[in-house]
Amino acid sequence: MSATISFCALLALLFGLVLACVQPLGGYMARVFAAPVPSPGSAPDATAGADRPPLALRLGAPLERWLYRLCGVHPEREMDWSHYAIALLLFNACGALVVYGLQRLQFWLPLNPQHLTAVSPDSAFNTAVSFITNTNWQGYAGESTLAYLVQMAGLTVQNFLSAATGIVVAIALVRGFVRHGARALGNFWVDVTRATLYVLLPLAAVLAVALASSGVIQDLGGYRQVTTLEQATQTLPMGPVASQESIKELGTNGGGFFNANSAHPYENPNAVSDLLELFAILVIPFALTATFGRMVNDARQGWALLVAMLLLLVPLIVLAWHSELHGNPLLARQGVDQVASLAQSGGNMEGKETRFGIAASSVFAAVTTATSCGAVNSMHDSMTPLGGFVPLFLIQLGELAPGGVGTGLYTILVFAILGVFIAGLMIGRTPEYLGKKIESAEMKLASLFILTTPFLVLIGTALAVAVAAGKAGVANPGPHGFSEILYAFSSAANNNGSAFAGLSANTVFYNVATGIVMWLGRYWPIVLALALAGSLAGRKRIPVTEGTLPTHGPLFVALLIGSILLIGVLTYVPALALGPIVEHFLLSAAT
Amino acid sequence: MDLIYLLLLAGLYGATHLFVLAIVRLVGKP
Repeated sequence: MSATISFCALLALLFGLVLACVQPLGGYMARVFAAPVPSPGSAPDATAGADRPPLALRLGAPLERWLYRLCGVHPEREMDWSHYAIALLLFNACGALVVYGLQRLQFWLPLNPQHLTAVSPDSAFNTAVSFITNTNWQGYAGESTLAYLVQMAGLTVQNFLSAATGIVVAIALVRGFVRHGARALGNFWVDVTRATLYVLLPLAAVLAVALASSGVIQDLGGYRQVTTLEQATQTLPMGPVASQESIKELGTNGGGFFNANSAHPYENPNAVSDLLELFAILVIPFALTATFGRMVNDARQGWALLVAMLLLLVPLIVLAWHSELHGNPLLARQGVDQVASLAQSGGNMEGKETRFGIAASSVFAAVTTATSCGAVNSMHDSMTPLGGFVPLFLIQLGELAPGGVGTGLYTILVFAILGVFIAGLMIGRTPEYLGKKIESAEMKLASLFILTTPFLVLIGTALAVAVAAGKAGVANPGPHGFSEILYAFSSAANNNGSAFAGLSANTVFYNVATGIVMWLGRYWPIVLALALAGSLAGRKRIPVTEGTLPTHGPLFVALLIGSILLIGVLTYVPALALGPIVEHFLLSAAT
Repeated sequence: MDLIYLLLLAGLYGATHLFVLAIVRLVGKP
């Protein structure tokens, strides 16, 4: 099979599977978040027909009620945006304290068969912030640093809760469009409970079994000593990998059980597990567009966002694959055979697994950075300059094609507001979106939202290249070293978590700097998105007129894509020119 | 050392809480 055919077949299979699940899963999530709160006096299955809560909610109602009682939550009390935001912040801050404490105390805690010592304070701080913010940036090697209890009770739990946090912010923003003349956006505790219990847990359980069936390990015993063919002794790290792997991908978290992440054969052993992981990364972010369409009662609005996401993502996947397929021109000049054949995958295979080859590695690199996942099955640092440009640029676009769970939807909705504002300026009408006038308050919030992340990326990068502690981590001086630092801060601020592996980031400087950037890059945009939701919810709905810009057609999709690219290119091209772009020209000139 | 990093966490939380209050002032009380 030619390289082109296998690449196209992989794309067709992957997107076919994902698109087949968009409407069923999106509709299910809309019903989960629209269902009434269960109370002892009213059975949740009292309603009939389309409004009837899904079966999972009816089965889980007793557990849900018990959880609310246990935590002293009043589920019927809805919150305005500021209370919703503060509840979210408190919840996540408590998670950070738990993850920090578990790492510092792991030597005295159970499920530590390797007797691993406490994690250093700066690394524990970085990891705690990393996992509560859904970034999962890892400056350490999991198998030699963290005990099973920390991996399960700390990291895996946060994989669920940070993903649920992203989903509920997106749902709150959609409610802002749906409600009118209202202050309340819902109850944070109810939303986060439902996102975890009824969306993430069932999907993760099914996927964990599927991954284990495809060869991913799930084991609580100690590490194993084996004798190799050369009669040497080798230690094989083991662990409960499949259960962490499933939520790592579904929640677009990305933090690997092992340092090599999804390139490790125990995390991702073959083509089937690779396809399952790619599917899991994409399915919830894409399905949330259908949730949006269902909640605003116009499925076409969701389709418009989905088409815009696909039109941004697919060409960049093709660019990454094309760049990697043609290999390294310096090696070609020296007569190295880089052509795909029955004997080899061909192309630039440095940093890639032979069992995945060019196509599955390039697709994974683009998909993991188009979402906020950050899992890797190849080393992005070893990609060609243009191939490496793709994941870096996808992160810098704001991870909205389709973005992380929830984060992708709320980010593209902010860009949609910007798009209709620009259209309004062009045709001289007050901008409106989904029946809501976009006024000064909304534009201030949207502008702050869009500016926050680039500010953190560019200031963080500038600081790192200006101080000795920042430059000390660079293994490849020159444009590639600059790309490594730019990638690190882009990944941290956008809560992606993948890395250009050449940077030594487990230092006090990078642990503290990226920790701060991850926190601000996560919660400040969330606060702004919730404020936007509150502002929109308070506005009255205005009727559609002949002057209203349709937001479900090709014109709007083009406007949305144009706004995203314009902001991304204008913000980052100067920095990209100093990294991957100049590196590409240097490589071309050397040949 | 732990105290320094716990204070840093508290500082990040506090800064974000203040950010919420600043945004409330910017767009008005919900």
